[in-house]
Amino acid sequence: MTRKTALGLLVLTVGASACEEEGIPAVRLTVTSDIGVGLESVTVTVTASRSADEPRLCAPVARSFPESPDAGPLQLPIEVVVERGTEYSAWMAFRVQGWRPGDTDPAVTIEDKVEWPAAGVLDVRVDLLELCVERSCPVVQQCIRGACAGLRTVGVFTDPTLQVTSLSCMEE
Amino acid sequence: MVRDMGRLRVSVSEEGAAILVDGVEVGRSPLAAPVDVGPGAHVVEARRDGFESAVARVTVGAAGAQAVDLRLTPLAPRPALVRVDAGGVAAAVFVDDSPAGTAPLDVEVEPGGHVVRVEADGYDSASRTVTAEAGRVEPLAFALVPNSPAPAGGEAGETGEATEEDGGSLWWLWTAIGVVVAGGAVTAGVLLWPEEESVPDWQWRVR
Repeated sequence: MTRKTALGLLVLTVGASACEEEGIPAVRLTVTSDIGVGLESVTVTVTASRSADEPRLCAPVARSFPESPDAGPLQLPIEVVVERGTEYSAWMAFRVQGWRPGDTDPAVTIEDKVEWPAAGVLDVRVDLLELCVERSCPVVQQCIRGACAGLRTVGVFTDPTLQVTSLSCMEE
Repeated sequence: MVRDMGRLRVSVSEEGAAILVDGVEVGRSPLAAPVDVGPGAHVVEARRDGFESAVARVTVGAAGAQAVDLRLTPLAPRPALVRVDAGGVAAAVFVDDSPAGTAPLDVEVEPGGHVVRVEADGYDSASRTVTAEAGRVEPLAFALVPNSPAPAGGEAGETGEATEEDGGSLWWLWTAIGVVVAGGAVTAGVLLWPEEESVPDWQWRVR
């Protein structure tokens, strides 16, 4: 077997694994945190764009976990699945915020955007780390693993003019 | 059932702002009446053109009332951004000859023309001119070309035999990398293979 053949088989194996899942393309956000943060709740906000080049967004939707006081303390990891639709199908963006007890501002926020997978489920892991608690970064950056890094969602969750509709992103 | 509902009294520093609870618009400021919500955590947000959105998280108990005061601040001028992508290569990025970071990254620049250069070991450096506009993201993708192989004997004292030996070492290196990658892929596949249908904590379907 030549090296090229071996390499080809490896690529085929990995490719086949990636294509196993079918159905509606979706992004699965798995939110984790390290223990020291002491989070009380986590909010996941999601929006999507119908244009690949610039944000042309629907109105974001948000969900807080735990969903009710009766649900007990925050349980991590949290898994949120967002399925691609037909209109806002260029990319989706998410903002995950962790809140500590009594705080009115999030202790840590991570946001990013991802292109929808062509098929199957794209897994995205979001780590809310103590390294980033109350770490301030410039407006076009965010804290990732303790360091300020480029923010690819500038204005997506803060600038209403980027929305082309006031309708919720999600189907009724 | 109604007795179990909580109430949110939302006030916003600016009039005419859209007020959203858990992503659903419930009215515009000033709200004439409190908003009835179920007990639990809720995200309250105010949005108005020209202002940065304000968001707060509140927890409302059954039959409880919670005041939420949202302060909107004027939207700062949106920066001009250049989004540099080097095709997966962690290339050093220079804007107008100043180091800006490692690709992929977004670089905030002054509106106008700029020269963006990327450099990476093993690749020819490349540069492009870009015109950035305020409030826009200018994508800039580089397809870096690997350097031509160094000629044999490029270093003093190297011989053809040494080059052949290097080639042999590289063969085993890539073979070892291939084995590790294949093993990792198989291990990841086994570990990540769902034992049963996973039930997410929440699921949305985008319109």
